[in-house]
Amino acid sequence: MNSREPVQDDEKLYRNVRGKLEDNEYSIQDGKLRIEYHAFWDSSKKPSVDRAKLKGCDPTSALLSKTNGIVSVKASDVRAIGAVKTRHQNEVIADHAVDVIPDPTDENPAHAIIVVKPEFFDSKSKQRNAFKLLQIALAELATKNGWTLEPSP
Amino acid sequence: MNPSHPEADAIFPEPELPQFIGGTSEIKGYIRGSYLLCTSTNPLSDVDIVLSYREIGTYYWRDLQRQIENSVQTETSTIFSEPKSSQLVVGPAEIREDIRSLRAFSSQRTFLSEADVVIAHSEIGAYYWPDFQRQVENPSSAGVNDRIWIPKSSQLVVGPVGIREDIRSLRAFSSQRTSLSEADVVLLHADPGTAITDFTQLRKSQIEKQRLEISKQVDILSQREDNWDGRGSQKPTDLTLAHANEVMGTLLDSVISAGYHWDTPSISSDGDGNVTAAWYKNEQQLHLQIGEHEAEYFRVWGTNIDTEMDVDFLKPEHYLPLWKWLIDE
Repeated sequence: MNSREPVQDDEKLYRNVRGKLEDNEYSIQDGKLRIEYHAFWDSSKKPSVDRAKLKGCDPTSALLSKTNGIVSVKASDVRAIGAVKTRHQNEVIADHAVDVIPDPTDENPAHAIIVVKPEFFDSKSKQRNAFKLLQIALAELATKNGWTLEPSP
Repeated sequence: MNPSHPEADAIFPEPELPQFIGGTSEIKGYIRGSYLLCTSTNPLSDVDIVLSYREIGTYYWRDLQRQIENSVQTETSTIFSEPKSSQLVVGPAEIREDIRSLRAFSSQRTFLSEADVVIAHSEIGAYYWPDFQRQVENPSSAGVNDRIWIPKSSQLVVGPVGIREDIRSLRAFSSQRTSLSEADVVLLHADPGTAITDFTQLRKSQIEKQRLEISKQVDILSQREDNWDGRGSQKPTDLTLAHANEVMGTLLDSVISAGYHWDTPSISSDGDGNVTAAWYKNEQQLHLQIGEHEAEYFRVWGTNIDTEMDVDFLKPEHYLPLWKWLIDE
């Protein structure tokens, strides 16, 4: 499979979640796992994921650290999150569709990124809020799916 | 009072082994019946706070005792770690008790509050004696050394104004505001020996306790440096941390003062250096994002950004409506 091929709807995507509770990337609420939206933060507002298919469907191969855990989201679910909106004076001035696109690197051919189209613009705070909604939605999807690979103590 | 009541003598006897635990003069303790109580003055309430009780013959919480004995009177902000199975109650000034069948009630007059406070030791759904309540509601007719006679009949308490949980969420309580006292008279549905009474005071204690918990969590964030997560996240500034304490403290005051149960949120900081707080209740989530000068809230009730989330600037007038939304009221 070519790592530059578009990400198919049925593809599973791996995301690393830091394994220490104090990093606040996951929590246990009423005995249930909750993936926090911090787990999907990215400085460029394009959270990285690994395409499971290109990792041989082996989540351990996606681990960035031995103590991390792995969660999964399905590409179609990510695309169905809805349109992230940028508003100006309460009016929607842009709908950003959510997509997953390949972003292979030499070290990691399975690398892909979750993006919005068009890219976020306007003030930093508006970009931040729009991105946070995306993070929350991704965390919700991940929470529903639970751990693909639990963090090691 | 009705001292001539034929059952006036059928009073649970005074404690046989009263004693002071010692330590500081702020601390009072005594052994009463089968319970050991320690009290301490709470800097934010007008009355003594009882910290613990325990059956005689079992181990006392040494950690708590050590804390009490080592506390310094001038350190009014001393906070005791709460041992398991203990809870805060209003401290006793005068004990009156009656025991009837399997149920025991005691009332306490605090030195600094006008109202007597009832401690009811009973099971959920148990009956309460209205005659007894009437006596409690008329403390001016009773000397502090007078005893309350045991009513003949019992009757289910009518119309509790609210159900609240104790601070450790272990037990349920109902309370009833009496017409003749400033404080709620509380019927406690719990095992004998447990006691919580004046919610006016309890709220103060709750607020203080939760404020400390918030501050503690925010303090942890102050130790973060830039790139604390290895992903380039910014550390929260001192101004942001102070603002977060202020916003969450005000929210806490609003929630508890309105009689709602407060849940400690998950507190963290995000990549942009904002302090974040999150509450989860079933399908509903409330997230706060607090920066140096402004704060925003995110309401979430699904995964669709278009139809199941919204975001807006957070203002004080939003606090209670947001909380009610969160708890689905």
